[in-house]
Amino acid sequence: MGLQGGRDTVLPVREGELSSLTVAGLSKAFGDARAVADLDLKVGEGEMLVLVGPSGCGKTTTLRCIAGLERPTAGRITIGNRVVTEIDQGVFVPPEKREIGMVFQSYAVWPHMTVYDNVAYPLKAIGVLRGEIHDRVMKTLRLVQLETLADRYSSQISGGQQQRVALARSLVAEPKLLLFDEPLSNLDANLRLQMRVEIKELQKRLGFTSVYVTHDQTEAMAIADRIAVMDRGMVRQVGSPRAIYDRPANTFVAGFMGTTNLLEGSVQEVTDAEAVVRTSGGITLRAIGARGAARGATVHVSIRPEALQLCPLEKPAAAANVWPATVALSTFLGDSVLYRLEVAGHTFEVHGPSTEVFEVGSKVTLAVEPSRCTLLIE
Amino acid sequence: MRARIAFVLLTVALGAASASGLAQNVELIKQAAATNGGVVIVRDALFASLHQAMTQAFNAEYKKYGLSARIERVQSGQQLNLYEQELRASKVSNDIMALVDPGTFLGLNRQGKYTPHCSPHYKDYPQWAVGKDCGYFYYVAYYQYLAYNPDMVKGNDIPRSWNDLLDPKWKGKVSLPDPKIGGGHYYFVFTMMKLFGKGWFEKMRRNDPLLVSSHGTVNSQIMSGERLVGVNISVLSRRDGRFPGGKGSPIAESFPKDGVTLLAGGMAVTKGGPNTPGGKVFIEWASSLAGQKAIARLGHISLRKDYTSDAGDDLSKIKYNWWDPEEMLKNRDEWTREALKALGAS
Amino acid sequence: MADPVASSAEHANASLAAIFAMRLRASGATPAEVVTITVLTALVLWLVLYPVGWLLWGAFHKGPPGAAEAWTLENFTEVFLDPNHWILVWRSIVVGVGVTALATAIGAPLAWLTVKTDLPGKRWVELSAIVPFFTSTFIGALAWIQLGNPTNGVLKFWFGIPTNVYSVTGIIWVTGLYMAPYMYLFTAAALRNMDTTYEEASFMSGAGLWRTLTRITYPLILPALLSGMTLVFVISMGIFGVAAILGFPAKLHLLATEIYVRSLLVPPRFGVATVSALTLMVITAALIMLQRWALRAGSYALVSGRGFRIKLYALGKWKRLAQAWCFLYALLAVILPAFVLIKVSLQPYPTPRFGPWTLENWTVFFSNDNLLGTLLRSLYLSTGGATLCVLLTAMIAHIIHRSRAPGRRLLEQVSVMPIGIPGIVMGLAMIWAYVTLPVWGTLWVVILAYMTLFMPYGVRALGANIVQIHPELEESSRVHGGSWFRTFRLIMLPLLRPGIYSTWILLFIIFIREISAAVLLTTTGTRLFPVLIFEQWTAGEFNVMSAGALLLTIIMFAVIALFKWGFKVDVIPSYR
Repeated sequence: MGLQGGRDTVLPVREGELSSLTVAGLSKAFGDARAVADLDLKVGEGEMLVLVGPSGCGKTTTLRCIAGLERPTAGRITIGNRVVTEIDQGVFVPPEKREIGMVFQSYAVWPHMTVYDNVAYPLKAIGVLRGEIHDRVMKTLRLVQLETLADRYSSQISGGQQQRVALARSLVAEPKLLLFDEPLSNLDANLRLQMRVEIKELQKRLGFTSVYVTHDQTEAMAIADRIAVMDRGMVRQVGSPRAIYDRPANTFVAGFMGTTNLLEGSVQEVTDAEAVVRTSGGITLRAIGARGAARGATVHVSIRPEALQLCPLEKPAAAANVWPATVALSTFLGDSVLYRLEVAGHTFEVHGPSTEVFEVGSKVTLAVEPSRCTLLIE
Repeated sequence: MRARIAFVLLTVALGAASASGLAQNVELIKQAAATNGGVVIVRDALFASLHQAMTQAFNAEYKKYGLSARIERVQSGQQLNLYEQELRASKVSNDIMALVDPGTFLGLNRQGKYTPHCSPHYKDYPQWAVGKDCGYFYYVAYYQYLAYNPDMVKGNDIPRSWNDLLDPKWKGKVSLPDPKIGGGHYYFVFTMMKLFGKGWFEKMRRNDPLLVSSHGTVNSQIMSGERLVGVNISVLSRRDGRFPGGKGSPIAESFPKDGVTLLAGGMAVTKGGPNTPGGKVFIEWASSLAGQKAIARLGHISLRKDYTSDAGDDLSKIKYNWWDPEEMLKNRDEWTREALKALGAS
Repeated sequence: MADPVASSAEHANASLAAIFAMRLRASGATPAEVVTITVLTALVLWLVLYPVGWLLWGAFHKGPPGAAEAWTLENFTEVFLDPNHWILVWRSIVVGVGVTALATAIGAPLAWLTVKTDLPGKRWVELSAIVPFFTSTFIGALAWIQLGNPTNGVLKFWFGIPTNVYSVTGIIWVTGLYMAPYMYLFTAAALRNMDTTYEEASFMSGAGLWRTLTRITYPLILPALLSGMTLVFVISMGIFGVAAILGFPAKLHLLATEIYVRSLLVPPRFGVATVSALTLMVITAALIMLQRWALRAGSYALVSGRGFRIKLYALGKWKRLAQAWCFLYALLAVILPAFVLIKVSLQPYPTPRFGPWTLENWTVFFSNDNLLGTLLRSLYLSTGGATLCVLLTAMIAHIIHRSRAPGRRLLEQVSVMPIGIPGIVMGLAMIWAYVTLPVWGTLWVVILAYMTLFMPYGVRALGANIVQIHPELEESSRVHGGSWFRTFRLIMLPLLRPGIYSTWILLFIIFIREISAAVLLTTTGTRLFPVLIFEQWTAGEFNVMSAGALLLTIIMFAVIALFKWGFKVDVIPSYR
């Protein structure tokens, strides 16, 4: 049930599971600017944690601190059972000694080496025997379907293939931890989807532990076992993609992870699991997630566009939250229609089926289940 | 005091040993051949052609003993600086110093910065040609005199006296060795000051002379016609000029009636060089008749009593000035400054 | 030697290094990185500050280097109370300003014409604008004596054009002519990097060509122009060969030649030379600070991106005039000088006439061990020196651009400091610093001087290359098990290879033609070819040394051609 992860919550790893990466109290300042502020993270064995957030939120800095490419200002990082960074104790293991793999945004495939040499590099660097190198490189290349391109240079292969080289290179030494720094952001849309699937499949197959950084919330949800949403150097919520989407812990997460309708209001009444909220526009609604909310408190309610039901005025839906609305704008999207609706001074975005179209200016009924209205205290 | 006595004793012993004849000479050669790979390093400020002649002649004679000379051209001022620096660092890299500036030899010899060695041939030289305690000797001399371009200057126009250069007709056509630069150039300054006083330079200033960095430049400028007359040395004008053995270029010599200046190149064995015995052998060879015959060619003159030059120069038949090194040394700074000032230079 | 300066300098270096190493470790650098950065910083500090410190020390002492006696202010009072010194200072500044103005007046328009207009035959214009860079001011002066001496220079003799190179104007003319390529390169680079849309926006706003040039283009390339002009000024203040060859005959001395003459006079006057050197350095340092200050006041990014098209102005009816301008420059800086040097090298004595002819001046090089040996020595020195300098500056540039280590700013600032040290000053400083050490009298002293003097060129040229290499290429190596040093060796160096080749050749050319620093440093066993040319020329060997100057030029071009052919490296010096 760990859905209520707030700003400072350490994500509890499920009981009995080994933690492969632990970050505790991580801070990083560049001069006066604080990029990461007292951050805690845990990643379980074989788990893929995605750090997502707007640019400048500190996700890449966090990743680089884990990699050892940045030295944190404070904090402690443990990979497996080895402490690789503990600033108080003066411990800082350089990146090459951390036994990790990393896929970079630019792929960073060395242009002066062949595909084979790129992939063999980590093995040579850690001193694997010559005979063994060849087998392991070819095995890894087969894994990413590049065995036929082993002798090519990076200028002779496509962007997607370069991405695979980078992936193979990060995997070949069987690292304890794999880091991905926006690996797909330089690929075109189709390839991005394909690689996303491939990475996920590989992770399932090989079971590597990884931390994956992206600014794309769709990508994050598609690939993550768990997501950590970051903002201004802090983790705002950690949880499974579903939990993050359906039960955002705060307005930031709600707004960042997909589109949502945010209504401001004050709490009228609190029951066990539900609360009654009266919005500034004057409508009343029931929402869940009321724990911790006090009567009279100012709160937000988040309602996803697809959670809202749209019915003709004459056929009101049977739900707890029902309001009359006026269509202000309708945009045909092919598989659905996006409406902008006016309800008592609030504007709602709603997805409706493309089978039934409401004209601009027509009156409709808007309905939503309380279970799909999330009350946000901050 | 003891050092000085030891020094004198050593000098006498060495002098006696080398004067006593051939047996010691062979001993010396053997010793020289065994030191520094049998190479004698000579630094000489004079001309490449002379160096070639000397190297060839010396090596031809001493090759059989495993001894050879390497002559490097280093201009006087630089050579002197280098030597002083190397002495201070106790890392003298040459065995023979040779340059044209008697004042230098006088001074360094007085400070004991040479290895004295009395060549058996010094008896064939006038007394003034050998330094005190055999510290050095004048291995070569040449004339400093007037030169002109015979294609462009003819008949009565040819200058016959130093004062002829002051004639306004030469305005913009005279080239002089720059007094600011030492060595042989100072000879010229000294001669003019001695013969005519600084008034000569004041008058010369009106003729707008070029003050060039070497006699060689005067020589080249006259040949090219860039300048028509100038102060030159026999070594150059005879090498290049219309003189038996010269290349036939348009340069000719003129002996001023007030007397040519006799420039003498000194030679000394350095102190602490890599092959001091070799230096001694070299100086013996250079002072011998065979050595002097190799040296005194094409404008170079020997000071031996029995030989002057391949061109048959006869010092008894021309008017020449030989200046006292002591007096030259004493006046150097002041007279150079005065000459420069009079010429409007600094 | 219990020398106060040396020991305190060593002490300062040592404690500085200790603090430095401490802060380095705190920044997360590996031991290899810490050691490398510490050693490099100490080395660069040593290279630059040690000779300069000694020069300063020498100025306050009586006596020559290696045998200095008591502390004194006499050197200063003697020099500063001499009105003649101030004439030299004034004259040197006039020459510096004149050369900078002339070089800019020639170089900047040439750059604009080749980069920004539809001038035909650009390849040739570019070639003739760069060729003088690879010869040298000094060889140019040798040629211009033949061309422009007042009595029978080729120009006077054949065309009746009255010229007098033995004058301040002559010195400015020849130096400016051969410094123009610097301004060309700086301006061309700035123009190429400038986004054309800035100018297009000006035209769209209704401004004409002249207004656009003066209000938009000129202010945008001004920082580059100022950098170039500062460099040209500093170099021309320290230029010694031209000033000696053209100035001495006309009694015109400059600070640079004064340093030379005073160091080599009999007896030498090192005190005077040293104070003159300091004066020179104060002037150049002041100018560099002025430039930095001027640039700080209005600094803006010029480069907006790469790969944009440069819109070419149509010259129209001005095309002929522009071509004539370019040809005139080629004629004066390349064609005529080359012609006259070739002619004189084939004649037995210098003469403006045609004939008589001889090959002796050329054959002498192959029969004279001394000449040939000196030439080979110069080649060895330039090859080895350029290699060492490239290695050193590659590491420095890498640290400056890639390391987060504290102290890299210090390294950066010290490593570009020699830009402000004129060559001849460095020569004198090296005498003070090294005369008592065992390396004195070996080629190592010369290599040290050259490496120090030209370090900024390497650091800048390689720096420009390093910033083009994505940092992730290195980080990727680190993460995948490569140590800092392994990463430098296996990733950085190979990726930097084209930059290394072009920097190497730039340094090779600079080393092989350098004379100002060498003239005081080379002795019998270490004589270098340009110094030999200078000395033999001043000894009157015009003909043989014309051949020598040509030989040197031919070798330089052969090396450039070899690199272009073998490594496909285009030798366009890129430093800013």
